[in-house]
Amino acid sequence: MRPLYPIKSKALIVATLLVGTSGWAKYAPAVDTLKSRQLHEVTVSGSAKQRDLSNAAPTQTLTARDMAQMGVHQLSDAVKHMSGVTLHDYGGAGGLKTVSIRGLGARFTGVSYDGIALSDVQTGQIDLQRYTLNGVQQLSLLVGEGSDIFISAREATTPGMLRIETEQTLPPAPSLYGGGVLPLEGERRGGLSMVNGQFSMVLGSWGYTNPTLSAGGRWGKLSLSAMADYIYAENDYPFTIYNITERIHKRRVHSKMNQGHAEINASYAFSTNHVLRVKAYYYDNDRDLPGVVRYYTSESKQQLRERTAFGQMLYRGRLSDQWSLKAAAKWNFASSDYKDRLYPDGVTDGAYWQREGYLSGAVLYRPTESLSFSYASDIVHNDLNSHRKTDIDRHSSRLNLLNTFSARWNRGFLSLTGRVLHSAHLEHTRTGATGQDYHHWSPSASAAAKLGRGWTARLMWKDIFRMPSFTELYYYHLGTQDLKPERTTQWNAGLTWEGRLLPNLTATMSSDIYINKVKDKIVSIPYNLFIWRNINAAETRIKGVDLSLGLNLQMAARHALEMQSHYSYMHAMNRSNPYSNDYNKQLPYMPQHSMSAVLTWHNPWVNASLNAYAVSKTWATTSHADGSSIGGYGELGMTLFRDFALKGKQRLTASFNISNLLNKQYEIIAAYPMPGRGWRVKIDYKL
Amino acid sequence: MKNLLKIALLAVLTLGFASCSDDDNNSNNTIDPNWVGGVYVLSEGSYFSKIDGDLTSYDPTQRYVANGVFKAINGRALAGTLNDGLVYGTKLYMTNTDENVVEVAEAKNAQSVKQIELNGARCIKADGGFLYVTMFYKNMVAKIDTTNYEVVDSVETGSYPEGLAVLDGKLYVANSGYGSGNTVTVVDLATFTASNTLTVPTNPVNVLTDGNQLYLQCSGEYKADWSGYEVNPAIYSLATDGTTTKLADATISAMGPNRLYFIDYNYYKAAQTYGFVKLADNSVESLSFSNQGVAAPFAIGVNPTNGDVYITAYATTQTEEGYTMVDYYSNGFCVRYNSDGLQLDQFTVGLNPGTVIFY
Repeated sequence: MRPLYPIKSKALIVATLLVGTSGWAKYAPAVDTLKSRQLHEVTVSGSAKQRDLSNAAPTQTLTARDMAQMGVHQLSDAVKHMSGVTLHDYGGAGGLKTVSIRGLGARFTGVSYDGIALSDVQTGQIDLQRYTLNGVQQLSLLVGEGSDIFISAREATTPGMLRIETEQTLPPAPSLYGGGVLPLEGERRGGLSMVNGQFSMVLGSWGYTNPTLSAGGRWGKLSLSAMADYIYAENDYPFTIYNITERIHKRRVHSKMNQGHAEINASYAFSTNHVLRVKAYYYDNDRDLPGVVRYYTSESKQQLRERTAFGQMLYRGRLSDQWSLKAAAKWNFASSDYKDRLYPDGVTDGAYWQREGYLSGAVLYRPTESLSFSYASDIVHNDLNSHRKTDIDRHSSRLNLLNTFSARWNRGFLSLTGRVLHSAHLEHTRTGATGQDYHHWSPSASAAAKLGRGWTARLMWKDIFRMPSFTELYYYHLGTQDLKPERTTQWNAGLTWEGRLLPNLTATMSSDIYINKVKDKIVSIPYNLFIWRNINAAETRIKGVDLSLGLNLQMAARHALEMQSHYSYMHAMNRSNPYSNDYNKQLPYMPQHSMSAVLTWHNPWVNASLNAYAVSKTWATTSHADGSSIGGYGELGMTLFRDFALKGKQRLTASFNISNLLNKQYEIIAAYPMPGRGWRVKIDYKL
Repeated sequence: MKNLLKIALLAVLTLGFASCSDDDNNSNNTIDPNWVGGVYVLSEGSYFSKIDGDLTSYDPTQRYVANGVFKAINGRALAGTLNDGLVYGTKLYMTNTDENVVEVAEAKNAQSVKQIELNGARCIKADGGFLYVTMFYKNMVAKIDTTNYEVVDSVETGSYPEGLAVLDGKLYVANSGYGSGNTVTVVDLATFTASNTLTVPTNPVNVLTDGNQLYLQCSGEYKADWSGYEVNPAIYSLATDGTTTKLADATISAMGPNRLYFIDYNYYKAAQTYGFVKLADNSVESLSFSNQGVAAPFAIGVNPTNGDVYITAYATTQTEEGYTMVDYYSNGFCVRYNSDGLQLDQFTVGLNPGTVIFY
């Protein structure tokens, strides 16, 4: 599709190509010749998408424009439209939101922000609610081990990785971690000085207000940008619950949120082959938690303050045709302060402070066209101290030494990759018992074969593990220091196709079947109100199918219909103890069926899209106890979206979105009702 | 529409009965219309798992069992967490800590009468036409008039008050301090003011009385790293001046005729022990129950008229290796023994069966 507005500058061409051409497609249709020609100038943006289908690991990508057209305003809404993902959402703008990939659980989902993994050693999982979509250029999800071998050692430690890429006001930089074996493409042509700015405002139901301001510029080899956003949300949405036969209509109370986030980015291109990127980041969130919904009372006095600050640096250089180098460093501070004023004397309050130091280096050697090797080494140091009345502060720390060697061979239609990762984890506490040190060799392998006529077949196997979080080891009354890591094995086989069904109809399709096994899964066993114990008792086996279909129908000049849909079947079984009544039952909070679909009509007037999302029922308990089932639900949303070209290179984008169009009441987590019908308006002005 | 509702209710009721098709029980799926007295087992439920607490009705003579009685009769849930309950006069009173209410129902058929709002309603006792209810988060005891269900007075206690007992015009309230308390507040009932504070062993959770003497259940004190007990949970005799004498290690206890029954189900000990204190001389005797009792006991109740002992328990399963795993999400069960420990009956109850009520 052609851009809808006059193109006045090179930067805009780049932006258009980045986001516009394939609409919001995850699996981009084959580019037409016109685009290919243009892509030559800005090689970086095109290549990432084309790789998707031929990658040995299932990969899905959403660009900023995809998300804008779908009416997605938060990360958790975006991941709903990726297959194989289960979202856990406590509801509202302040509710904890985590994702689980293919039934493995949130603690197995890696999340990276601009190329470096995020971590939370306290809980072991990343809350997606923290990351706004303002400034996010691209979101991609990679399952298992892909064809890209030039990654940090840490990126190889998770069974799945959600990558958040920002840098909106910077000219598109080479994707530092997504570049694969491709040599660094030079697009930075120094000398051009340009300044840009952006202001956006989102207003929505239940007191949602979200202004964002950003500014940036480029002076020769140096690019600088800064952005800040703020969210206020009242979150007092109405909901309906049933007390057996009695219908209760209430509002969420005690759920206000104030959130601020700011970052400064700089990048310096020494030459077209050497780029350094630096980021400083601060996040602050102060919110009231509404707690579980009850029938006869609405009282909650829980509060949570979370802060994160980090600085990170990434360097990527191409030394020669054979050698490329990457280096990264990060220092991260995070705090979490929980208070429950219902309980006198602060007996349940807890404050945690954690720090992380990170150093990473990776080298890529490509002796011939068809063969490449990569070695990466990471050092991660985490420490956590706490204040909680009922726990002693052990001030625990962990040193992680990660080394990985990988090789890739591709010739003609076939590409093969293999990796071995060695991880060493050294535990230390200042007081009390210490967890066990652990080291492990983790192998993985994948293959992709281009079968011709748009068909690609892929196979993947990965063996990986997860260290217990500090909470599991040391906290909440009785951490258990003799915990072993949880181990997973993933198998995936898939077939993808892209091509043209009719002269004006292109299609992409992918289908994968997989088996995941988790051994030594950590489960919490409550003994009474005060005593909890964590044990490596559980075993799970997850078998599933992920299907995706994308269609793009060019109806007339500047009129296209696009459809993207996913369906996942997941049979996630508890295989722990044949004698228990949990055995062979679907894991709690894991739906067997989930689907999503988005239909977008691109036109010269107002782009319109409809999105649907549905999951089948889940259980809140492992034993599927009476009353603990959570009904399946379907949700429908609608978005209108339009760009306006103003004077000069100024641009205005307006969108209007209605979520949960049919006002269906549902919940994802037991006793945490989700919002009903809501609206959002976004005005985005770019200078 | 109304008829439809009735049918639905009936269906729920039947389901309730069907689910208690237990072992050697002769339940015939109808409530005995001539039922004049019996037993309720009140289950706490599990709010986070969406499992409501409810009442199990049990007739010891006919051995009828009905689960989910409140829900079936009233078409609404008791929800959770149901911490305590008793029958006083013709009414059944149940405290619901997390819903901030005291539920009032007809004792004979569990028909709801009234919901009294009360923050953190925890433990309950009745005396002289009034209810006394500890308010867990407010450090208070509320006084409720049973003729109009109104809160007529309140008195300040120590922190996190739990169980309470009335003896000789005084109310004794165990102040748990959320595990770190060590006092019992004495309230003069005539003036409803705190008249004394007794210092007792750590973590008192209940005061019991047979009408002559006081006893104290303490839940002990964990070590700072939670690796065991610093002070074991135990029962003590409690003099009105605050003097305590330890009688036995115990985690659960209940008053019966001439005996104070106890179980020591201590997580850090290899085996649990059952016994009773002879109220006549406070001597301790062990008692062996049929089949070594239950694997994971939750509460005891003793029938004041015939001394039958009811022990409620979690459901358990065995692992392949032979370990006993407690099932925290399935319905529990209740075993009825005679005072010699001989098993008389066993029936299914709800999840987390914490209180046995005789009427």
